[in-house]
Amino acid sequence: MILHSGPPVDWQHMSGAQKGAVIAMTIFEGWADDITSAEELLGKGGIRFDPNHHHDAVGPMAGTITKSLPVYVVENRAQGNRAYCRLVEDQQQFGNHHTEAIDGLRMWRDVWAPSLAQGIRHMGGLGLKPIIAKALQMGDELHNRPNAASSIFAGLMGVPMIEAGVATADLTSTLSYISGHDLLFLGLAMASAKSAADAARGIEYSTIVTAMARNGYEFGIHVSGLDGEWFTAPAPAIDGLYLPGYGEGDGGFDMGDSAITETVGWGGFALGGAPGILSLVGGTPEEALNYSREMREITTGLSPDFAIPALDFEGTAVGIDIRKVAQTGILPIIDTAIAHKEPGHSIIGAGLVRPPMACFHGALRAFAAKYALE
Amino acid sequence: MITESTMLQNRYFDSVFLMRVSKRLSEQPGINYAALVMGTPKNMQILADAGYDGIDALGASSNDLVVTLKADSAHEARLALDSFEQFLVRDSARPTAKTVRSIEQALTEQPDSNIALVSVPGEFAAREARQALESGLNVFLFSDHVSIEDELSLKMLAMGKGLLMMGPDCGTSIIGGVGLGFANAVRRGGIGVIGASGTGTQEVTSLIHRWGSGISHAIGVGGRDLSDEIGAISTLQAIDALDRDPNTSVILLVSKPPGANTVTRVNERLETCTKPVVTCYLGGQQEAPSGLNKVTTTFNLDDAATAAIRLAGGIRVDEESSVSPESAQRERARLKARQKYVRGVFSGGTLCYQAQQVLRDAGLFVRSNEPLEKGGELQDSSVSVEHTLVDMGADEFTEGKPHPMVDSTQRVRRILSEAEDPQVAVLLLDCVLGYVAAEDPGGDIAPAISEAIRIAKKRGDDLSVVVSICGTELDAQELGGQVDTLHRAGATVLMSGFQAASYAAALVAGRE
Amino acid sequence: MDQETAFDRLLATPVAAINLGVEDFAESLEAQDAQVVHVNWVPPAGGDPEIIAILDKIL
Repeated sequence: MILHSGPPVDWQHMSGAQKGAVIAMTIFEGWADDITSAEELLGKGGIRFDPNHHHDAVGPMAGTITKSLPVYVVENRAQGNRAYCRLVEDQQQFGNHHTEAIDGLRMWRDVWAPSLAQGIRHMGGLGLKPIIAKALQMGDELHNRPNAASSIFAGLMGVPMIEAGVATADLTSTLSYISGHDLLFLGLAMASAKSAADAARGIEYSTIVTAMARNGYEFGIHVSGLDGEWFTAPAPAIDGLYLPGYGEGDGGFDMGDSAITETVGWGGFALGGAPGILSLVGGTPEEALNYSREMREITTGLSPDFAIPALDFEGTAVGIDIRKVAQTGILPIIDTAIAHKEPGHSIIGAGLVRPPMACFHGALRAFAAKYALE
Repeated sequence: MITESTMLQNRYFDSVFLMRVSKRLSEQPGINYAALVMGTPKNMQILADAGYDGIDALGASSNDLVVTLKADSAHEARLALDSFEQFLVRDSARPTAKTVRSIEQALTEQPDSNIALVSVPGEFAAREARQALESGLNVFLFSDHVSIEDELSLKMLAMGKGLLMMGPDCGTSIIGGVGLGFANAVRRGGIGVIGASGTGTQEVTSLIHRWGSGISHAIGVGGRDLSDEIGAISTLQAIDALDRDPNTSVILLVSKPPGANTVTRVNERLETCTKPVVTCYLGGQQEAPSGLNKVTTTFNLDDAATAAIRLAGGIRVDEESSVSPESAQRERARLKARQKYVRGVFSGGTLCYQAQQVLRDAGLFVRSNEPLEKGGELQDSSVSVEHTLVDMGADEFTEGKPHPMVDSTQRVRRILSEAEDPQVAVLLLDCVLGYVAAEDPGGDIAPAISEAIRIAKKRGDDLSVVVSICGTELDAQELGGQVDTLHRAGATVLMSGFQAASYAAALVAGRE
Repeated sequence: MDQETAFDRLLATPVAAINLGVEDFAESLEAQDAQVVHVNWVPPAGGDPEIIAILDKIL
């Protein structure tokens, strides 16, 4: 079985990038030797798929997780539930199924993840909330700009890994990996967000969104009072900027479980505090702040823990309410990376996107039916 | 295609920012592709793979900014590379307007809000008005196409909260000297107006100002408030408020004929007012109801204004008139025998209504798309029959089109088509100034007036064009200038709807 | 009947308006130096009457 980002999807309908990522995982697990035989196996239905979200997990972009791929484990200590997220990188998860991309996963499996695991176990676990709170005040929004958090994490992991007795060669390799990896913390942020959001699942009559997820084919949301149901609509195109050699015609549709960060008030909701991501927004700090303010109109409250200095230390907007989204016409703002529409490529760009209103309307209709509103 | 590159040493830029600059650079003349990246080995490889040749020759390091582009010509490439640095400088701060999207948000912005003006499409209007009332706001509801059930429910809700629902279909109010909707600039004074009609309120407040007096408040209640279904809920509340208001010394009520039950209730209430009251129920039969001691009954807007001014302790200061019985005679004499009919093309509904009453009272049978009585209905609103006065603000003309007070296109068309009819003696028009109205209402119809006169002249006919003007010298459109424009176009200008309609009646009396 | 109502207060205090719909009305108030906030109103729920009906029950 291969777990993937977004709502349920089959091989026929899977986006090009997700197909590429899935082919890579098939080879990674040794279920096929090369791209062609992997495609054959997948084409005749030889591998099952399931959304990450059905397994308390999330994954960025194609989000593919298989049994041999180590994942971050984050525990919500207040509620006792756990959530999982795979590593973040700029190749395989974007649909690159060539050897260099798969080799990256192998390094993660064989060297980096086990080394980090040793360090974390030695520490008895690493508290993530303080890192997140600090990072949000250092210009991160934790989705496309988790750089400060990644630096803090890297700084914290050195000594524990040494004390845990990680072998020198592995240590050097792992330290290089984590120090050079701006996006690393996205994986931890996503698992943290998932563990927080899951605690809000299944509350009768609640209209709060507990997940937003895409697979390049469809965009899907979960709602607390309608637990277990996906409300989907076609995944939108991303309004973005492209790396050299790529343009608008190359991009695939919106993809990834990383919108779980926006679901808990980070990412696009915290743009006001992330000046580095401004260019994606189109220019001014005022506009970035306006996005954060705008999100307050569709949420329930402000976070007591996570504040944005640029908004006078007001908390990020939390608790997307499907009623408010429908009433105001304001959709959550998500900043995201762009994958190619075909398999075999790495990251090609980044931009802004909003979910389709149809997801929220679908959820409202289901709410009315379930709770038998006259 | 030419590939050109350059490098800025030791300049760091955020990668996302650079993507944006690349986009701008690629929009320069002759530039097909552009890329700006920091000179890291990985980025240099990406550039090489994307076909930017010669990139290695720059010798860039990870701390250097590499700029490369593909252009149609070497010249355009050079130009772009010489000027790209301007894009590295951040735009100066553009002020971004704060977007307010709901009543709730607006209340956060302005907590002391006391009134909501609602002019959204009819199918959403009741819902927004209800939300406004529930937020403790009085409501000026301009929208029409609100059901009578919704109107009743909204007015009951408002009354229960001591708030006023002005409307639906309320075009005009003046509260504390501030004009809401289509209103004229008038001085403050002691006369409080309650109007179940937009242009009726505009006309009466303008006359009161021009004739030397002033307005405390003008409260619109919506065209249906005095119907038996609604029962004058807003009117009664407005009477109470004006009776209590220290700035009001006279109350003036303007409306079309109220429902039979409602008129009794209203008159009974008016009789108990502490202040003198004037009523003007247009269109009904002209008999003062019995048993009224407090209330002065009038039957046209001029008399209503005059009576109110007198009761407020003033006297009507008359304006100079450009017409006299002699000039009316001369104009009559120029008409051919077959020229019998008045054709009215109105922007103001009440002015059209009052004009019908004036012509009826002069013994003429008048048709209209908004008739005074049953039997006066036009079969086809776009085809005039004999004496016809058309309200161009009615639904059939304003569905998906701007209101004639704002845009004269449809009126112009109608004026010209009426001029083609050799049986037409008089074109009767109105010209309404004030807030929200067109910038130059007189200027907008003047060419059509001249053209209409010319069309008639080609047949050998003299066409009388009679225009009433509604407004004050304080209105932005400049009353004096508007009158001049209309004069120069060949119209006879009268300073009130009543006077204009009376003049038109005088021109055609006895010609059938 | 003798108690001061919210409407009485409207007549006694300066207009502070919230404008929904046609922007001309807000501009007119600004030209008169009156306080006004213009709401960039759009039909709720994209104008979908079914969704509006649901929202009316649960908002």
